[in-house]
Amino acid sequence: MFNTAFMRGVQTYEFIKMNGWQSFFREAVYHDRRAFIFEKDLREIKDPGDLLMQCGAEMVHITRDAVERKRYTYRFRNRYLKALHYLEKGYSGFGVVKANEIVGEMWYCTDTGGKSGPRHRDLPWLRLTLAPDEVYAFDWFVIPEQRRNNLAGIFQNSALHYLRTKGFTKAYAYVWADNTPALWTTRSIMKWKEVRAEKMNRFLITRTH
Amino acid sequence: MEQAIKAFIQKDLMTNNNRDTLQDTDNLIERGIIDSLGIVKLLTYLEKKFDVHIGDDELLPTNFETIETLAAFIRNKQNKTGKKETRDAFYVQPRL
Repeated sequence: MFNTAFMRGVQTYEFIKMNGWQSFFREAVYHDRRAFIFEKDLREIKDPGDLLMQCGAEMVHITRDAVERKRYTYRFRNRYLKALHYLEKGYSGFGVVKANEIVGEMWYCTDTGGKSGPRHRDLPWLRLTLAPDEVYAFDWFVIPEQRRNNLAGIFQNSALHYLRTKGFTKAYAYVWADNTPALWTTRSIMKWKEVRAEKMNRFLITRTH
Repeated sequence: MEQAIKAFIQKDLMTNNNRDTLQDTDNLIERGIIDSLGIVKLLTYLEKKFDVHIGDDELLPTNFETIETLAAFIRNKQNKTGKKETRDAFYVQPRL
């Protein structure tokens, strides 16, 4: 409990520092905020080849050992703490690394969660039940300086292709309707298929739908 | 309208190297012209210039595929709201 609270504190501090108080309150308090749920047939994913390498990057698995040993650097401390948190929950993640720095991440889980067993807390409000060969992808993040030249798209493609090679056939994700760049990328560039929209309410740490 | 949109895209979304090659029928998404940051700039321009509001339900590749389809989309929105094409928007509706 303490570690989670510390992580949330760091996350809040760094978010406000980067985006300001107004953006923080917009993320912390909302009513009927709409999210679009998307699915991606992983069988459509083509092998990205060495596209990431051409961007001067490589994709890595984010492992507990690598994070605890600080094998890679993180620009934001909250991302490092979140990685530890997700790994503790048994979720799996990919990172895109440039010059030994994690500049982007993608996390995923199955319906049974990870080693600890609980489902991801998003699945109930998204009304998603995953088949054994399906994953829920969440917390896509790329540091602001790297959000050009389609690095995010190439990374996402590489990660999804890897999941395809491991036998997964479908991925689900959600994007907030007001997150225009992410919505555009998901719909138009990465061509995920829209499943439906859901609404969510939030007051600080309390969420309802 | 097509010329205005094209001029904006060439000036603000494209680099010097390739802006002269832009055609009205080019696929703006496949050419990588409208990326995740470009779409925000483009939406801000379109809403201010043509006095329309583009909802997230309308943020579809079919509406933004080419300069021609984009202009048709904007004209359709203007016709629905009864607004005329304006060269200079003096009053800007805040994006809620």
